[in-house]
Amino acid sequence: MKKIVFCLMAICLVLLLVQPLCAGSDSNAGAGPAAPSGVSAPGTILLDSLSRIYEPVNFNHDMHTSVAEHCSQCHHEHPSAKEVTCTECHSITATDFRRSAKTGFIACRSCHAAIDPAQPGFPGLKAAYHRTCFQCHRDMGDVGLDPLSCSMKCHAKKKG
Amino acid sequence: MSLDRRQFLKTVSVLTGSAVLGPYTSALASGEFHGWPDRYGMLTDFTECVGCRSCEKACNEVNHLPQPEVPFDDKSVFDTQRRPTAHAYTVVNRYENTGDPGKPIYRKVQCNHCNEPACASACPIHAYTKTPEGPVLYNENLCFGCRYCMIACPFYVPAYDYASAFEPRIVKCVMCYDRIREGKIPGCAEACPTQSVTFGKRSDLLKLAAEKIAKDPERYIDHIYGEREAGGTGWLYISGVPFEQLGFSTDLPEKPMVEEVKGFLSSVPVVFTVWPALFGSIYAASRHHEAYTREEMQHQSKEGGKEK
Amino acid sequence: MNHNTTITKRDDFQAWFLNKLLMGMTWPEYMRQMITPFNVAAAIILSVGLPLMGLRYIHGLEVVTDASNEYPWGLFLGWGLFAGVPLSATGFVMATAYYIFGFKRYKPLVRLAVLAGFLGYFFAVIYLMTDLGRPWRIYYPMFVGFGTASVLFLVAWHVATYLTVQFLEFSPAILEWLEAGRTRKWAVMITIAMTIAGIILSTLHQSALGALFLLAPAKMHPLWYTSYLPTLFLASSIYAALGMVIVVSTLSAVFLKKRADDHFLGNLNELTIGLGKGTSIGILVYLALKLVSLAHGDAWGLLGTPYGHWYLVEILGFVLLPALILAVGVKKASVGLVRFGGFHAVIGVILNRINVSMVAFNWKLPDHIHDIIPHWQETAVVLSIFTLHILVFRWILVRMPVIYQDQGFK
Repeated sequence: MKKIVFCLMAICLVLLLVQPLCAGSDSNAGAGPAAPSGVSAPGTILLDSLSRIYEPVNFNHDMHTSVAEHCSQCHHEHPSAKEVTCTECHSITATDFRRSAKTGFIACRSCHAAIDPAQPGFPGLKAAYHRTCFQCHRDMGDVGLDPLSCSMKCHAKKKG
Repeated sequence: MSLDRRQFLKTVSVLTGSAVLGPYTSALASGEFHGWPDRYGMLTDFTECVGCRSCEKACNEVNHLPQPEVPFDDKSVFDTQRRPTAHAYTVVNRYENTGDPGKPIYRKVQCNHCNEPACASACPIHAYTKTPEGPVLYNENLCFGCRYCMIACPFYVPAYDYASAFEPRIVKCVMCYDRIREGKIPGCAEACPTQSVTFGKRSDLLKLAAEKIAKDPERYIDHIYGEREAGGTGWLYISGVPFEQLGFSTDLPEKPMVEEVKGFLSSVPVVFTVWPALFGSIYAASRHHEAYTREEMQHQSKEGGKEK
Repeated sequence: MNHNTTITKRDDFQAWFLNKLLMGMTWPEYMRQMITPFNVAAAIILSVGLPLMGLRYIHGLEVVTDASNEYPWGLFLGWGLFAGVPLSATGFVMATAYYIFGFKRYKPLVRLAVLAGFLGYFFAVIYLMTDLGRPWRIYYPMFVGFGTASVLFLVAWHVATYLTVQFLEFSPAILEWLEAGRTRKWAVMITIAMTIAGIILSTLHQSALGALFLLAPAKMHPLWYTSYLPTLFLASSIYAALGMVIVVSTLSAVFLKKRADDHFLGNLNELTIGLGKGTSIGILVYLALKLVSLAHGDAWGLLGTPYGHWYLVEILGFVLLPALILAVGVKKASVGLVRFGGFHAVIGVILNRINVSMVAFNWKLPDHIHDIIPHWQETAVVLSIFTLHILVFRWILVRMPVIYQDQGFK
């Protein structure tokens, strides 16, 4: 039994050390519901479906996990998570998170692809991303006031 | 300009008096047509639009329009109300949001591709076509530049190239007809980051719009602009604020504009047939009267001479 | 032999030229009598307007017209077509009265009326072609594309056909001037057919000009927009024509007195009174229709607005008032008063057409009144075309038997 407790503590220690590295500088641990452990597996995601026009978007998943109220705020295909915060299920190790994500979470692009005129109500990938982002960002005043904010906030313009 | 034999014969037959009636009656018969069933349309959801002007940029690119003086990421264009011009098929305008002042509302303006377009019924040369696919197209090779389509359009859409000496033409959105034919979607709809501009079958879009409104009555006012306005338009709109606040004409008749002139056009055959008969007989009567009076006078003078 | 005929032919031509075109004067004489204050003013106007019309072919329509994407039509059509065409109903109205209804006493005025009508249509087409983006395609509605559901298609066809009809109607005067007696006989034979064609075409296109605006219900002010527009346009064109005959005959009698004969001058006063009577009755019919349309539109409330005041100025000051002036003039047998009333009625029709096509159209747009005021280029071009109109009119009146009778063809 002692052995198990020791192992868990060791893992926690390692995670605490590693965490800043994968979460990047934006990680404001302690601000959101993810506070207790600050663990989230995907870390930073490169969104590059528009890389023809823009530099890929560096999406800091960790930071968003920490501010989101619950996973289904973005991951709408995960309705069971509506009532509970992310960390209640995912405040575990990265491996565990990955395992749980495999069964519970789906990447946006696995459903949302190119726009299909036959299903006009179904968002394409671009709309899926943006509508998700804008739920919060429109209210934060950095979207919808200046077309330049697109390139200032997320989409660095491709050089050349 | 090619004038083939059939067209020539048609012209000749139009020139002959009796055939003059033909076209008008066929124009009247077209009144029962309610549009091609599978035609495409667009749905703009003003609650989704963030004013990024990606649609303007994409439209400019796919239609090979001239580069604008002000770049597409410059928000200063929102300081004035713009309209489509000879250099832009579509423009986005900003309106104050009375409900939520921090969040301005953006309205994309372009041709609405009416079910029964007023521009097409205005054109004396048939330069406009409502295609079965939905887009309303304009053929500059037929146009002589009377600009009656611009008078007739209830949405102030067609623009004219007043600066061109020899090739002035009407400029307006074509709903990316060529792209649709290739199986692609219009440039603006593809570029829109939020799909606030959605492309699809008009019938599907009507359903979608109704669903959106029903699902979220807080977010939308209960009206699909374009469902019935001016006889219905290919481009539909839903909004969170009343449409008049976004500069829409809300007093348009629900029947197509052409209905307003059908009564007049139906009088044309009547005039062509009744007038010659009427005035011909008046002429005959007045000639007869004249001859009669002259005879009478001669007769009287003779009688006067004879003293019967 | 051959040599001789050439000389005779050339002499013949010279004689014909001096006789017909210079009216028996030599070149120096002709040029000298050309220098009059009116001609100098005309030359000044044309020297501004004609170069502008040429520049249009370098820099596009925007050089000559103030038209914009919101205001596709301006003064060229408001004045030249919408006011020009009803005022040119003279030919149709007088020919109908004379040939069909048998008002024989108006004979001295029929040719003048037909000429005024023909030139009015001719210049309406000139205004239209100045306004068209590609005027060289003017024949397209006839031969290339057929917008059969379009009111403008009808207008194009009818104006073109009617222009031809009017030319044929006037051709006896030209042929008399050219002393082509045999051809003239043919031209005279078709008069009745042409007159009836004229009635059909005129009824339709006069009303069609009003129907053009029916297509834009949401853009027009409700006081002027009514389903009666075609009927109102037709009704007003009839009295406009009678008023215009008063105007044209008065101007001819005053400025070209020397060219007129007794047949014209001697009968004019009496005929003017008769025309005045017709005009005032015509106005009253129109006014009644106008009131019916107002009641039908149920837009009474709008009469209290600035546009309503302007509407009242139109129907009281420029419809009712000329009718009253004419009625009084007829009653008192005052030719002067009738002439004044005739001018007033004509101005009223011009005002109505400007109101419908320019003031009422787009009334809801901000800055509307400011935007309908034409810029100087447009005004200069309109003035130039109008000047040309008068010059051509005068040129024909002083040469061809219009206000005098050719003794050979009486």
